[in-house]
Amino acid sequence: MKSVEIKNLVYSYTDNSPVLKGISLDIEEGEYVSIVGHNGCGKSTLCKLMIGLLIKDSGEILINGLTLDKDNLQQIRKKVAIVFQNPDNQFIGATVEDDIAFSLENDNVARSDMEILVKEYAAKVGMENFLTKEPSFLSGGQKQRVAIADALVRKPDILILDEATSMLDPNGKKDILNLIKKMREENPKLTIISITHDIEEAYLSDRIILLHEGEIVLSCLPSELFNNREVISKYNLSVPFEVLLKQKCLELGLKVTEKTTIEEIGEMLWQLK
Amino acid sequence: MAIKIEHLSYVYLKKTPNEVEALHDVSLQIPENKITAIVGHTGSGKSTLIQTLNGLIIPTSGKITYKDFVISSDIKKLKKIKELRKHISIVFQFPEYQLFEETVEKDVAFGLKNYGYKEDEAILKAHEALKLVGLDESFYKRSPFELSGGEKRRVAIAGIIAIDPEVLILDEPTAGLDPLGSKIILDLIVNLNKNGKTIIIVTHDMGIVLNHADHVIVINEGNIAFEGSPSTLFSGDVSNYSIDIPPLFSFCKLLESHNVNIDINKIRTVDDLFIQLKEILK
Repeated sequence: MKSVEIKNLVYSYTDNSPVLKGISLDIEEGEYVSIVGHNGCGKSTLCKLMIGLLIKDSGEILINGLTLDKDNLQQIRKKVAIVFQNPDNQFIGATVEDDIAFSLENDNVARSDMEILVKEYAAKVGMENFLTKEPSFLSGGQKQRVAIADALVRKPDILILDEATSMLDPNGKKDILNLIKKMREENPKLTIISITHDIEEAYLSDRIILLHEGEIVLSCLPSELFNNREVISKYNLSVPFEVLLKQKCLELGLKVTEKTTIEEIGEMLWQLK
Repeated sequence: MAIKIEHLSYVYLKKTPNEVEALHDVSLQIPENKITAIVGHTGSGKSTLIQTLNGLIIPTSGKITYKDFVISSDIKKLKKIKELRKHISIVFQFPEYQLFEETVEKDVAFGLKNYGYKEDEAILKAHEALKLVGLDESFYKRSPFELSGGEKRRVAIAGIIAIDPEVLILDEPTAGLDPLGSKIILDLIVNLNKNGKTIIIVTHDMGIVLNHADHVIVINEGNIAFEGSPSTLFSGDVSNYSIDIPPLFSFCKLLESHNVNIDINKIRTVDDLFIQLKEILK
């Protein structure tokens, strides 16, 4: 089933120059897609259009087969959740449990159910021991984990991460990446759309979409993008360590493939000498 | 000349119930003409340390010596402070928030005018600094507010470079920039260093440390936890310091542990590694 269908989407902030110049894109249920591109390429605009925070100029957006328009907006927002970049800008409650409950309040969930759900989702993101803590006692990574619990507790079909790890230190980032992995194992139907500048992070996804000046340049497997030297140099992208390493090994005449692990490459190299 | 820091301590809100010791008896040297990286957790004392280096805050005890400048706890008010800041300058995190002038050239010239340069001299020097950060004359008359994030940051850095300090301190210079913007800033820093500037970078990014730093200082809870080369740092136990060992370094260690005879100290990029491997395999 298609989770997201976008057809010829156009959007401009001012009259003269469109930020998105007719984008068409399908995302399958359960897919983990990264959207990459330089600042100003239209990544965040695309996300805001998908949850109806911005209204398109023309084109069409379908979420789970349902057209995103005024009539369907509320229904669609129940299906799509978003986590933003800055951990401090999305903590609403006075404590962790309040913050998670806030999402449920909006959906009129009964108090007894709410108590169970809050505990369950706090545990899912590893924050069960912080339920009564205020945000000022939490690290950036912990706040982002709470933001993800807020999003997941409403059981969305689609989770959008808008540079959700970019303001975190290495430990915070690792926490979130591990959490994404765990979420996908628990719910293989969850569609994840991640906007990111972090290439090591993008490399983990099923598919990468490269946006440039409001147009899709490439939509392919991460390894395909990072091995496309022409595109890499034209758009000034960096390349993940694993891809660089494999390219160098191929130049040396070693037989490495997609599936070869870094450890296996190490083994090949020390047997060579 | 190196910057010498001896027994430096700094206490915030001293003599109040909320007093916090941000730096505790810190002694170290920042080598001349090198790129030194300062790393550590949020709240470890990194920012406090760099603020003491050009006299923005006065140490609670201990002293800092650079050339004939001395910053120590026993002076209430620093003499020659403006002079010191001409030698050691700081580019703060998100420096583009501090842009305020009508045009790019005026913004860059602002600091120079504080140092007594006449308007036309200051503008001329501003143009030189803008050229160094890769912004040509088409930018001179534009408003800094209409530029992209990366361009704004280069304007802000040009404002400091224009003063021509010998020591340049940059707090998270690539934070919030996209990969292309980061690369431009890092190339600029490397170039400034090649032209003789002493550079201090505060960063969380261990890729930057491995690729560019000659010397690393790790601060943890107000103490110096480590001082030395990037390769020595990554070879040791870093589990307590929120440090992510770069995958290239881990891979080199793996090879080394299997008796592949590489010189890890000379490897900063994947290319460096394979140049050595080709030599070994010959």
